[in-house]
Amino acid sequence: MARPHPTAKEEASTPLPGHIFVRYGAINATGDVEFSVSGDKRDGFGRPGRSGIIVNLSDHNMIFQISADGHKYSNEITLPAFGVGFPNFMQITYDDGVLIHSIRLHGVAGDQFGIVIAPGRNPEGFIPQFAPAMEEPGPLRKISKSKVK
Amino acid sequence: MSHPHPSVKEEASTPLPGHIFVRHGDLPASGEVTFCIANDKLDGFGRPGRTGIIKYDGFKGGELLVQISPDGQKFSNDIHLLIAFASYPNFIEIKYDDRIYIHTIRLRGIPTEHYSIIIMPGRDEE
Repeated sequence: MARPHPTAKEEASTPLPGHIFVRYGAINATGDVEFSVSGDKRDGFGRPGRSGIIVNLSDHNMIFQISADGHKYSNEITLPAFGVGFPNFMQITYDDGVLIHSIRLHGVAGDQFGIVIAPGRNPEGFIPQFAPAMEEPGPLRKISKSKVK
Repeated sequence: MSHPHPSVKEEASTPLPGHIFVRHGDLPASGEVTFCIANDKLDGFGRPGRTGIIKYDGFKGGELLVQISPDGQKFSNDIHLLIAFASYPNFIEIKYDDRIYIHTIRLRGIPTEHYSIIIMPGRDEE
């Protein structure tokens, strides 16, 4: 698990733009583990993530569900055991249009998993910025005082 | 199958932005199964999906035939997904840039063979 800097307690509770949500570890004794990507006090974005990857690093099949709002979960998506099936991960991109508010994992206690969720770009996308047109500088001129009357 | 929160029975029948459509199971005795992603009451988006993965987990032999419809009426020709582990690939992945509308999916194959479907709504147009 990530260890924030000791002096960053206040900042850690504030959503940090562009931060990445990373969790890896083992399924606990209940066989269930849940992450609120949106509301996590340390690494949460304050809004659902839009892209990421979920990996099964174990020798057993693992099941996960994604929720767009923290209440309604998707059906179960099975990630095959590492080396047995393909793929043992699922990648979500911004173009998929999925909101990753919460993730729930089911598996065998002690099995390893990895989660990386990124906030995704802003909906308005890339806005090209154009530099304002400037007049080309003309030739430098000198006007002598003798000609000014 | 997922177990929606008890308090969200109403929301479950309403398209939820950013939700993901997931189905997996065995082909029925008829060998054919159809999923209407756009109008599914539990997980439908209220519009066709734009990205996803359709995977064949069969091991007895034969192929899984996949057809995709953008409007629920006109279907594509058959896409053949090969048996798992024997051939590659045993899945088809559809991306947003493919510009496909996944309104309805029809699967045909050997009864009791396993399939998986993951369909996502796709980002909003810009």
